[in-house]
Amino acid sequence: MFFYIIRRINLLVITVTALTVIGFYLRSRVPGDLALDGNIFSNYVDYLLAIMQGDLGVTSGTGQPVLDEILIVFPATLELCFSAFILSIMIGVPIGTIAGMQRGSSLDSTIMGISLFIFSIPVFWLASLVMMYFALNWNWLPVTGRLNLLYDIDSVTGFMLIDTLISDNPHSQDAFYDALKHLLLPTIVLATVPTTEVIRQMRNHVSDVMKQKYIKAAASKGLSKTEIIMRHVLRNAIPNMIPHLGLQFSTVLTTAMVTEAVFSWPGIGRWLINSIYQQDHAAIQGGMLTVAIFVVTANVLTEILTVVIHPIRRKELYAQH
Amino acid sequence: MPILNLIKNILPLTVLLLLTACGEPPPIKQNGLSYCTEGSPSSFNPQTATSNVTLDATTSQLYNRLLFIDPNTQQFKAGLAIDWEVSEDRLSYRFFLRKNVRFHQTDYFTPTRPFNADDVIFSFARILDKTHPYHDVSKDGYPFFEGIELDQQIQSLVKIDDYTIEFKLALPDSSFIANLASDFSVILSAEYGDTLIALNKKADIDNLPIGTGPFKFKEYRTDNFIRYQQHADYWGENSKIEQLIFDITPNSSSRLAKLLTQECDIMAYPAASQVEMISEHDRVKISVETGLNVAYWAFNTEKAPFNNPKIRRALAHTINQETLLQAVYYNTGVNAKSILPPVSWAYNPYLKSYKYNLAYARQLITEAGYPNGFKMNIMALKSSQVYNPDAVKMAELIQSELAQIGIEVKIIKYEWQLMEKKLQQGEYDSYLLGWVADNNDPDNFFRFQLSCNAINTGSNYTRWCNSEFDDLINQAVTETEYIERVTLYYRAQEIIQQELPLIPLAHSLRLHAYTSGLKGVETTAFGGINFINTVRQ
Repeated sequence: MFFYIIRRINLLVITVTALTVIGFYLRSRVPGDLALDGNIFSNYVDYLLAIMQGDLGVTSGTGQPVLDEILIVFPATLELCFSAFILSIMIGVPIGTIAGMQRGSSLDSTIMGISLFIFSIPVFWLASLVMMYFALNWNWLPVTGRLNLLYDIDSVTGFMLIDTLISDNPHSQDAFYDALKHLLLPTIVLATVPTTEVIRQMRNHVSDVMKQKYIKAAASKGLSKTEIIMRHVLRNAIPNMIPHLGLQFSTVLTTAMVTEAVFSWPGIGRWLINSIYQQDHAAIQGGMLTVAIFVVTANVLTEILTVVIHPIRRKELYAQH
Repeated sequence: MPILNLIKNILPLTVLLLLTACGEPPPIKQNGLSYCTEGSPSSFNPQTATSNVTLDATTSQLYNRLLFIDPNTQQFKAGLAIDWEVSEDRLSYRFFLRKNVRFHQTDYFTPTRPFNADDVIFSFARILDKTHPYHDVSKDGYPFFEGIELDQQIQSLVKIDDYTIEFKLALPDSSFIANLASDFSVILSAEYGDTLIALNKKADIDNLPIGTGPFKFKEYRTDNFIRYQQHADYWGENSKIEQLIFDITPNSSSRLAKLLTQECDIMAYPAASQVEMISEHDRVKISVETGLNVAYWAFNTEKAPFNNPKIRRALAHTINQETLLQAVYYNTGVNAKSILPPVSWAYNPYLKSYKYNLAYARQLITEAGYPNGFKMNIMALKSSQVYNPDAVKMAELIQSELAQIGIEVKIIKYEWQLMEKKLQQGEYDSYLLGWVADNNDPDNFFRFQLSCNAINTGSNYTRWCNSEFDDLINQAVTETEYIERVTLYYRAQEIIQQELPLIPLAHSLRLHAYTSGLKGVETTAFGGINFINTVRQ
């Protein structure tokens, strides 16, 4: 276990180092940002020391430190990604379980057909579509942003749902509901692709479990279907899902950037797109580094989490590496 | 079944969400106003800016001027100066200042004294005096004041006492007072200036603004929003709005979506193509007013046959203004009779426009000695302008009209830099261009484009020189009697109408869409929006 974790952390360090090299190259293109002399290695070490102290440079657009801006926009993206993740699990796990338990049935084919169809819908098109109907035609939900700007909520954690709840603004409860309403459409759009993935993976794992002898044994012991699902199927299938979810995270983060652009969600995706338009190299390298480090760390952590809660998986990993 | 339980739990939550989503707008809306604007301000000080976005976001919200122009009557009204006197020789302007005017108190500055003459001196000395500690703080300089050469105009600025101040001019100039009333001439706090010097934070003066206006600065998130709060100690009647938001939304479809979902109360500049859709909604309304701009078709009057006024008049009869307004402006423009728009106080309403009449145009051309027509070119800008959304399309429409009376037109499309070069070299027959005013003084429309002197300085591309016209506009600028000035400008417009160095085509409208029930949003024709009298009903 110890060696496994060391190995994972090693991989993390190598990947992050590679990312900092790219970041260093981008930042060296910002005139006057780094004191560059002839020695590229000492320049690189200076750069590493700087980013370790949180110095990611200064944006050319606003003249603010890159880190300060990232700390404002990144939590907005994470809030969106987390809520999309939770929604995809809430929908994907039960539907995937139903499909997996009845693999080959017409219900299974229907579920898989529909989820394949949803998977193939381009995100930006879906986003425009829900925006048009839910917001413009039916007027149910707001279209853009995270909160009606009239609510003056101080940013404490950066997560709007939490900030509205802990705020001492007299309208904080209204603000919370308003934030929830703003979150709903982008969350639905962002959750579509991971939901289909969760359904597919869950179905496969459940049907694998269903083939096991201990399920037959449980059934012959007279356990009800509910008991079998709760005690055996979910308990064995869900841990297998965790690494898949970890991998999904980077996909969700990428999709989030498109979603943010359509819904004017003030997250890192929209911020990066603006930085690219403005050719703000300092902002691009800072944003890229942050997102990449976050994705790599999240992946490594989910893998470690998997082996912690699921010892059989550890054996597989040892055998593989 | 746990799955069923799960669904049972999710369902009410979803229903609750949808129900709250359908609910009435929250009460916070009653005291707040949200304006969806098209871009970020370049600074929070209009002295240093030229863009309408910056003027909209700052001038009327954060600051006051010594005097301002009433948007309805076009007359000068008292601002921070309660009254003013002009000397006999028209070289001295004495302003009597309002007492007990408070500057904003914010997280970053607490004023200790009310507004007085020192603040006026500070605000103008910053622009005029190159050695002033704040002169070089603006990276972009003071474009408007440099353009009108204010430093040449003002000889000195004298404090008579704490509440009296005198501007001494080098030469009499009636446009001076209009310049002081323009959106750019705001009054800053001298005390705040001193405080920032002591803190070594001079740049903050343009970024963390302190003024005397009805709203004070609270927060700005670049490319996202600006948050203003009511200035409770405002000298005039307080705004009914406690919080004012500028929601920065560059995309006009997103602005429209925000308006329709009531995220925004007012939307800046709806696209011409959206107007029809907006008017189908009951909950939103559109306000339309003429902008201080004009689009025209101008001629090289030094070149035959365009040196003949008869030919120019004949061409004026080939213009079908209604078609142009529909096809180019989507009805977001009004037809033009004069180079001045109807909202200008010097606009001559008695001018008669040239009627669309191809047969008569042909007759005039024959009389002028061109029975078989001629060949000509029209230069048009490729990109859309405030005053003209599509000059190329306009040129094509003119081309098809002229083809019917035997005139063969070649359209030459240019980017501005190249077109400007061609204009300066005089290599053209005619061109489609326009003008957007910087202030409401008519001189701003005439002198730069049509005076004889402007041929030498290179801005009168028509190369038309008329001594009577020149005398009139020179006389008008030194005249102080309002009625006299109006009469002179009426006559000047008549001369243009007869001589037609250029044919005015259209004035583009300034559009705002807003939630119905909102009253008192004031806009001025040359930019600037004012929310002080806005109320929700």
